[in-house]
Amino acid sequence: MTESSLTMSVKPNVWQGGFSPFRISWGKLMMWYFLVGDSFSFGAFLITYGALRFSYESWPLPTEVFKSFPFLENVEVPLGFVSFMTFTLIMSSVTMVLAVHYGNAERNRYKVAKWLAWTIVGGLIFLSSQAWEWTHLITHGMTMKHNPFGAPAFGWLFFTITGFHGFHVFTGVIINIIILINVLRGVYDRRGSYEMVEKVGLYWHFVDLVWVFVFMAFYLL
Amino acid sequence: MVREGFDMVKEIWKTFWILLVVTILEIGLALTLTGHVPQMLLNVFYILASLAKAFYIVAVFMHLKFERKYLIITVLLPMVFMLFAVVVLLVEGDWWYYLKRY
Repeated sequence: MTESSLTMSVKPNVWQGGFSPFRISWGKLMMWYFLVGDSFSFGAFLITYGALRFSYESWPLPTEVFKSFPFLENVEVPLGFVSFMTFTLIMSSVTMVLAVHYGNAERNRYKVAKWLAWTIVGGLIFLSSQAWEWTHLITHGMTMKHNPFGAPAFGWLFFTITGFHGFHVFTGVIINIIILINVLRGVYDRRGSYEMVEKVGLYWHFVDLVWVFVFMAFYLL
Repeated sequence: MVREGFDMVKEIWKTFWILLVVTILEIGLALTLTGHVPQMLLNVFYILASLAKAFYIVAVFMHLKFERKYLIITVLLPMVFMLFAVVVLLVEGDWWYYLKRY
């Protein structure tokens, strides 16, 4: 008994209080749990998509719906433009994680600002691409209630789900701009920690993560 | 935490190439094999490939594989409910299809 109580006191137990058992800050933990919650809102959207799709006899073919490319009027490029959008989002995730890395590892204000700025550029390119794609589909008759390519529910689901995702990208860009201003003003140098960059980084990667499944549901399956 | 001597930048670019190659593979198969092989086979590939991409984004980009075990569990365990909803609602959707037909 004495031996076990001795090892208990020597070996620190993470659950005995005094510090974070997860060894991360309060803010980062709450960002993680916010993202867990947010994954359920996207999950609800995509599972609804699946259930409605299963209830239809036929469903629009992605290679038929998504085959237009800006500035190429008479050429059919199936899935071409969405490939470009997916690449942009993956790339912006890489620039974001580089900003997080140079903030945490080197506290290098210049490098963090550079990569964060590229992330914002990537987000803006993605949003503009989505605006073009929406405009193109709407002018070709696809609305919330109408769909020349097949099941009307497809239009409804496409605009709500990619709209909800696009809104996340939009807020992500706004938050990134605020953080970039703070980085340039040296707020995190004075604070001695670049963890805020890591927190918005988590949010930005989540947006990329959701796109993996939105892309799968609408453009591949 | 990240261990000593671990090159994070290298790991980031490695992950980027994995994500890019898997995505190109998905699009390539969608453009070349659709209609030539059973769609179910392609769908299984798309789902597995997407889960693989999700793993790399969460593990490396979001640093989850460097966090403590209990944090990983509290983040991943709730996703079981998602799996439940997928199975239940897809079966239900199939049933709506028969209701509409007959």
